[in-house]
Amino acid sequence: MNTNIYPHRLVRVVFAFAAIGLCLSVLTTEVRAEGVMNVKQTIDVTELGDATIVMHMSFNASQFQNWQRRYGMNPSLLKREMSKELTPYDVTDFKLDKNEMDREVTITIKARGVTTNRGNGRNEIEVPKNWRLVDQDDHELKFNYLESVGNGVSIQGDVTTTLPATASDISEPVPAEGGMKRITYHMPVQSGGSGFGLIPGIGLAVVGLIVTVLGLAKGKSAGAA
Amino acid sequence: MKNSMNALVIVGLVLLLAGVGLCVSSMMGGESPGKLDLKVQTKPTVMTIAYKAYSNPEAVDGKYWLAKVVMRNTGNAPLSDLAVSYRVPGHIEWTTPDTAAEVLPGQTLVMPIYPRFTSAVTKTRTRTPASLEVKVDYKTAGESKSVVEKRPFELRGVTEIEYTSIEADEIISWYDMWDNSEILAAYMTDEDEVVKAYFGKISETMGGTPYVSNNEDLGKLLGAIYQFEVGTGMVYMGAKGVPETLGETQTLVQSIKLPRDVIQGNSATCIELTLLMSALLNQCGVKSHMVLIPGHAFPIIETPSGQLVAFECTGVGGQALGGVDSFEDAYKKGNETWAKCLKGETPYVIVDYQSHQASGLRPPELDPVDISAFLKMLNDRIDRRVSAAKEAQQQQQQQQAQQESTQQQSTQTNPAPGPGPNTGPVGPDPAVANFAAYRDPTGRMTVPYPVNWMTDPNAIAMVQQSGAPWYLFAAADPQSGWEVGVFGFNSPDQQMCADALYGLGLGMGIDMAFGTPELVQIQGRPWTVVPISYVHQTGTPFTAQLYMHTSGPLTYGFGVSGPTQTAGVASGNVNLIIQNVVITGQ
Repeated sequence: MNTNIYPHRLVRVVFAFAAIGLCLSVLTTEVRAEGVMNVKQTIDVTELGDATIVMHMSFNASQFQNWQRRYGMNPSLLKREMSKELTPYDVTDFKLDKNEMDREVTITIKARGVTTNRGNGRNEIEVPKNWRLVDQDDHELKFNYLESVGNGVSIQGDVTTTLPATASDISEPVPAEGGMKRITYHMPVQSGGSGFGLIPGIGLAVVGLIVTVLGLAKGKSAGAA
Repeated sequence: MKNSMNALVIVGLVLLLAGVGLCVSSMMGGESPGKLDLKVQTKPTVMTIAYKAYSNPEAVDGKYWLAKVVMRNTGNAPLSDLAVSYRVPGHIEWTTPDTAAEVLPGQTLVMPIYPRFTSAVTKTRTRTPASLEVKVDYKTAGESKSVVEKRPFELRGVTEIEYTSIEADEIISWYDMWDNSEILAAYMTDEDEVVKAYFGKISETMGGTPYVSNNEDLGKLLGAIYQFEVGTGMVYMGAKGVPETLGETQTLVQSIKLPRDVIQGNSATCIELTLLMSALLNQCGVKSHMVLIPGHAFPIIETPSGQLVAFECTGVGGQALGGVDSFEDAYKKGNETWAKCLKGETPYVIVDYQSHQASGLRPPELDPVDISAFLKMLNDRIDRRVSAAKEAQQQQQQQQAQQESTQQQSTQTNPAPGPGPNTGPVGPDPAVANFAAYRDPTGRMTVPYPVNWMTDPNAIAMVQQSGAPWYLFAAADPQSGWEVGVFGFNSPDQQMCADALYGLGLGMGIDMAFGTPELVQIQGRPWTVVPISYVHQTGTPFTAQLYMHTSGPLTYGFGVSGPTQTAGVASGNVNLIIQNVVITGQ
């Protein structure tokens, strides 16, 4: 039987890592831009497994010139190329901010479906295997990585991933399929119902009870009088 | 007083009951169930040659997916026990479902589909309609539900390649046309038994499979492959091997034969010859890559000393195309073209077969072939070529004897231009900076053209063989699409010459409209200039001018032509060409 069981694809989170590589590989094919390039990324994961990914890149003069040449007049080309790398997600927003004076570029992407809900509050998220966990502070995981993209250019990446505040039992990254690492965490289990009516219902019942008791007490005192 | 007491009790009881009811209803699961918002995004086509890449989420970073299923819960209660499966009727049965325990309200689940086609899909020869059916089973509020979505797509024939998946109006550079160029790696079938058997015959000519340890060994191997192709009558087909224009969707899909089909058919385009050469070199562990440039493709080969050298595979020519390049010329031409790429004069894209194949773009499984029958066919081909060569040699000797006899008996009455000294491209034109020059066979007419314009001797030879021996030369600007053609008519009748050009156009499916002729002076000589307009085979409007100058029994001619849209861009070079055409002598 033909089958296509790739559970990790449901949650595979490249986090635009490849897209950065793509941007740089374009650069390095056009310019001898040797050196290390710093990329800072933040990934904020919501309780529903959506994420806001922010990438901040600083260029040297020649790198920025070439980046501008390719994407400066046509930012939609950048979106087109990065979207190809984000196939496993539902990308809902894409924003590009440039600081030309300081040769800095910030890309913000909003993506849905970056985690998988395995039931009973167990959630999974995956990161590339070359991301090294260097620090963990409660729900904040700090990674770094060094990646060569050819022509003597390397990316030094610092990634801060923030899991939901209600997440607990956050695991160490463990090897997963497809050259990824998997992190597991737990979220509070929601009840079967919507939960919206529970608190108002209790409040209403308590008020009703008080009013009834008051009514009965009033009746008793009136009878006694 | 009693009435107010009763009212208070009644209101209190109503509130109590309402509160309890709200709690129960909330805890029981719901006034409104979860709601599945299902979106299935499908690619319009699947290139069957790359079916292995389509089935592999890791191949080429997951680029070759067929569909993306986005499931979002837009209701107020969770969706649970989701099971997603799909099928492609006629090719893939319902797959084992991929599952997710639950999707909370507002949560999204994304599933890309990488279809696991079998090798049977490569039986597809032409575009064939297909459909993808996606089924999602799930539960909400205790109720089981099922949704099936159907999306059409097309299977491309196994020989069809889409060079780019970018829509025509999104293409902004020549490089965008090569978005899928890595697919070409799947055509490099070096493990094919037919290729191995073919290489076996080549290695026989070398006394066994060589071990390539130095550049000299590589030269011998390359030479043996080339000479074998030439010796067995391999023919370069003049069809455009590589699209060269932008935004014309019809040029972005091309049919490419696998090396086994090239060997059996003994004819190929530049891309196919390059693939075959690379597959053969790989038999000895010699790595090579394909270089794509506007209108052409050729291999670059890694030498044992770590260099890259190029080779012009189309030098095999073939008798029908008017000549075969020597091995040295093919090597020289290839490296001249490659040098232009390295200087930045010609845009290029490199297809690295090995790295693309390693990333999942593996060649398809091929049908078994009766190798003994194939070898017999190859041996028969070799025998026929040997016989034909002997006959040709005898005929040549007889013709030579006859010519010598005729020349002694007759005076020269035929003024047809014959090859003179310094015929053909004669290097830089001293009159115009950055221009080269072409000199016609009489040696009297010199036509300049920009050094970065490209010429294709094989294409010219093909035109001459098609009944236009007066078509001497052409050079084209790969950027603007404008070109200059040089003609040598063996007639003083200019109307007849124009008719010949018109006839050539008709033969190529072009109906030229000739305008009113005028007389102009160029370099002190009178020329007739005829404006021409026509629609090119691609549907693009073209503008042209035919220039003719009659001297004695001959009419010298040249023409400039190109897309009307780029006339402004090309006008500087075109005017320099026209103004600097020189006719010498009387």
